[in-house]
Amino acid sequence: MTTISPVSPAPRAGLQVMSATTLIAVAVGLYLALIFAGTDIDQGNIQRIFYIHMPAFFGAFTAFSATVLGGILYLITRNPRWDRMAVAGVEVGLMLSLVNLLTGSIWARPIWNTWWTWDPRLTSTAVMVLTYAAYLMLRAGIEQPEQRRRFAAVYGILAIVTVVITLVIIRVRDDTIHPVVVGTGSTAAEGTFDVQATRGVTTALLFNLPVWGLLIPITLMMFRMRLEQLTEHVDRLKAELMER
Amino acid sequence: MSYPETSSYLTLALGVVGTLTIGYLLTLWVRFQQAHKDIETLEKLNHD
Repeated sequence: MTTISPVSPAPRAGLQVMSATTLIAVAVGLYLALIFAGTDIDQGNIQRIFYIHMPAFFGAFTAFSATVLGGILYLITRNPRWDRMAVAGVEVGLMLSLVNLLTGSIWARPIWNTWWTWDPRLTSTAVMVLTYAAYLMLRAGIEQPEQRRRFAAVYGILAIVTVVITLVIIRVRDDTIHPVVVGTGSTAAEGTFDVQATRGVTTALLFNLPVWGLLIPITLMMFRMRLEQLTEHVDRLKAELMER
Repeated sequence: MSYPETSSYLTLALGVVGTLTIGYLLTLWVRFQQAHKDIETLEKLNHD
């Protein structure tokens, strides 16, 4: 019988430390966003969702970038660990993209008087979400592991185009009503972002950016990569049983 | 100073964020449990 390397059921120490750090950081971030930061004069309390909405997009960007890196490294080395990183990036990035998209929609209802409009930024975000959802569905449809990993690597690299378009579209299109928060947008654009909170806006945003943009995606990806490792182990055991 | 009453939308948005993040964590947990159970069963079968 072939010897199979055992996969320990207990989470590694690094993962435990990351989980604890992330939980504490999320709690502090929520405190800063919901209690510490002042209420916006124009928008009221709904403006506070901005401290999660925008950082969640950067978290998705981090995760999708990991997918690109994982895809490139897999195609070079053919080591399955990079494929694990790629699929983890897509799953976590998709979840954070949905957080971004849905919180934006809820914010838009009282501020723009609509749940949804076919604004260039909103449309490109929706296309991005659908592109990555398709990655998971197509990947699940390929049985042969090597073929699946190769396909997923190429798809994951190409799909980043939708993220880049989503990032830059508010800076190049004049017909957007989505506010440009970082940097400057087109001078003819209709959207503005003039937060008139009394205090704490910068503190709350600067704290939540690395929490949702780095800590949460990296911790969740570590869990997802470990799960993928266990799933591969199950597949190996099944194959071994079939050979007997 | 009076602020526009948008608290109910904030509550809804936080509910959505909580549902998505906790829901994803729960999904991961269930898949972990299933994988461990499968490994245990398959290793036992392989030894028999």
